[in-house]
Amino acid sequence: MPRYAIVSLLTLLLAMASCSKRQSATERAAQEGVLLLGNGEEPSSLDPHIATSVAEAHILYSLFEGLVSPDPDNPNDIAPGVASSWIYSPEEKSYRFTLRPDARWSDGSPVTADDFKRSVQRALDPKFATAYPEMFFDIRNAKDYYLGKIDSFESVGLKALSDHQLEIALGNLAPNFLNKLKHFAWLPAPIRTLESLGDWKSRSTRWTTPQTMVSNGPFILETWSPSSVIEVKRNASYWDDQNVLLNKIRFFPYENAQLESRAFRSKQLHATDKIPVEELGDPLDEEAGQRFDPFLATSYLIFNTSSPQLANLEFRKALALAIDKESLVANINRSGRAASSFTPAGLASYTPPVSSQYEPNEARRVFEKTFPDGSAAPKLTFTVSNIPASRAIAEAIQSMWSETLGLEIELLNMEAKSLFSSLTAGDFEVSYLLWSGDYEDPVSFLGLWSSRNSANRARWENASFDNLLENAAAENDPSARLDLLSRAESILLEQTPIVPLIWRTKNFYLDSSVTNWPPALLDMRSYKRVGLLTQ
Amino acid sequence: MLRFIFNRLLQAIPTIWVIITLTFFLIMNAPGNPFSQEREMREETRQQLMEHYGLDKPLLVQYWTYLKRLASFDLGPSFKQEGRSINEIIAQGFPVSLELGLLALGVALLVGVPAGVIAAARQNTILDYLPMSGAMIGICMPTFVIGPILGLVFGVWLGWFNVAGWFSWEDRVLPAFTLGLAYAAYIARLTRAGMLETLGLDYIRTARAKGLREKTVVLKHALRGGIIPVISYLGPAMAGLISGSFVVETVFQVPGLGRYFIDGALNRDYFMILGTTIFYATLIVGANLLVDIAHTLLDPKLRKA
Repeated sequence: MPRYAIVSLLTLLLAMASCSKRQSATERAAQEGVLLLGNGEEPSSLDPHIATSVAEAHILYSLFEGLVSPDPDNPNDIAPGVASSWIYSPEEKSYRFTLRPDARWSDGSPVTADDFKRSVQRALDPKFATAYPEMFFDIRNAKDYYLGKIDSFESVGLKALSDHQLEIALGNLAPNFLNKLKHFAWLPAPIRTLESLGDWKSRSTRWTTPQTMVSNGPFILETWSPSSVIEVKRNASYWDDQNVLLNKIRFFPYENAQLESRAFRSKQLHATDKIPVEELGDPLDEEAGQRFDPFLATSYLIFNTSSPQLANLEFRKALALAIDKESLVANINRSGRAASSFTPAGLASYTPPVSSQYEPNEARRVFEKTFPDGSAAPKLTFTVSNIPASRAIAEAIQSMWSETLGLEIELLNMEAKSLFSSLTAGDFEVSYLLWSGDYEDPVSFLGLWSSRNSANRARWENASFDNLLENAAAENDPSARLDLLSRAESILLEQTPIVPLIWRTKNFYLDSSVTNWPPALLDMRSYKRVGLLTQ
Repeated sequence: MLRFIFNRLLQAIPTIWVIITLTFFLIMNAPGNPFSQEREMREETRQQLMEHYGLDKPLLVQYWTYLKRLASFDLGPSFKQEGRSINEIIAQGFPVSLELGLLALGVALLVGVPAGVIAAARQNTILDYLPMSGAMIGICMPTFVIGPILGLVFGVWLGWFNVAGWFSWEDRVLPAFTLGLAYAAYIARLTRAGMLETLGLDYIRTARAKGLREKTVVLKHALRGGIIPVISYLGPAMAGLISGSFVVETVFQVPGLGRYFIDGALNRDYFMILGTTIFYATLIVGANLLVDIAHTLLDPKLRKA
């Protein structure tokens, strides 16, 4: 090689080496009061009545404030939001909320009771197709309005008594109503802005661009560059702005967990949304700042109880008893806890019943009793999503069933959309799914298995279970109510339309410079008190 | 000539129509729908959404509505990116993919051609074996392996570049190299082969016999002939680079069009799949047309055909 080539190569290498470590992005951002967050995926919408995903919810809680909000110090609790106080009248089954007179939209106009009323009206409009209508169904007549059975919204139990007084009349007792009120479906939309842009009740009216968006939370939308970054900056019109610590938050839609982890290690992010499974339990990675927070989500096995083979309760029980959940947690999921109920532990004052655990001998006994002639044992198809984590669980269960029961299991990998539509159509035998709660109450889990719920993909019907849920909904005394729910859950576990497998944890990396990032059971928080330490 | 172009344009229309029609009926009949998800949607909500997007109508009516829309260059809305139109998404994503593709092509040429020339000029020496083994590895290693490795080494360990994002010029380096290296490897092999062939020709012997310096012989006389296979490869390479950058866009979080193309299919985002397919198809049909026109201009024999 000619000499000059070698010389120029060396120069290039030297030049590259000289631009060695720069000040990291996280350090620079911390000095400017900017929080850099990995946020899972690109949001579909920043309209609180259209949004469905947790990634969207993260951003929405920075932009909007509901009547109540997640407590900044403990997001599982309820803190006053736009409503500074409220009174509940048990006789009338109604709440009266007093709104802060100093609550403002980012355009300076006051946040009024009418804004909340019309936000609900917008979401429940039968043409709007909101994602979480059931968050409003406790309101008197709300469900009928949503189903188009009544035309006038005036008969729905929602009244703006004055600019700052909102009355919500409930159709039933709804002891978990305030928890639902914390859900992002209840965040208000800027109705006057919507009216100026078009039809305020249409989901096509475009108001969530940085140019048009008006919000009432601690932050306002500054930039939205799709697949790249969403930036929110502090909202000077926010009533509690003097207590907000951050100047900006940047949400990065990193779907790929490995990419996100690299970004965290190269100090491009203060916190990630997840941890790649191969980095779980590695001591070196743990030192980098891994957190495993309690989380209201359960992975479970679902049986199609309307399929001829799985209609047999004893067979389902044998299958459940043959699953070593501890091994699934330790070897495959590498985080979380073996689930002993569908509702995860961790909810205040609710103690879920305990399901039977791994008992291979008992499993064999039940199985042989059901199929005394071993050759008659059916062949099952296990339909599972083609994402590696789900496939690994399914393969492990396949081998447990084949070792313990000698069952032949066919694994059918499906791409997500095909899988979910097969499940909806009832075209499956066994599958593996995840359920995460919408609010901190067992009903957010148990309600899924009511025979009247169209989302009950197990097609399981049990009259006593349904009755207990209904009785619980009508029960005044909180502890008696939880007792009824616990009895309902016992039936669910005993009848085994599903097998709860793993109580998930929220796994993420968090930089040590981030302050006040408390665990949140629903992974939704207020960013008001989140701060950053600078060196 | 004008008539030739006009004829070719007329031929392009049915081609694109066939693509539209096939794509439309294939995706509409694919299992799953845009609204099937892990958390089952209420039946009423699903109905409302179908109505909102006009998916409740008979398939032929939807097809006709879509064609009418296309006639006014409207590619429809996205279901997944609620509120954004496909036109907008292409307008934002394509320039990014194009820039990434061009930069990668630059890397491919700057690395590939010199490596090929050196290998040919020093055939069967270490300077031949080294770049050619490197090229073999480059061809074999997929971008989803090279990308994370480059990110780990230059982003996490050395801290020279960001591992994700598309904000400053530095953010272009790793994605462009990742995407460019595989093509560089192929170009190096093409250059080497072309050069070896040319170097054996009579006029090179003449040049050497005239006493020209080896450098002049290789770079001035041989390279001109040796590079021809590379030039004819540039067309397909460019098409691959701008449409096939999906993996690199995911590995480095580049907001290009490639991701929308793939995600559209996974999400059953019907208009997204249709829009991006039609866009790429038109692009390729257009590029072929340009190539044909160029050939016609260069070769008078073709003009009469």
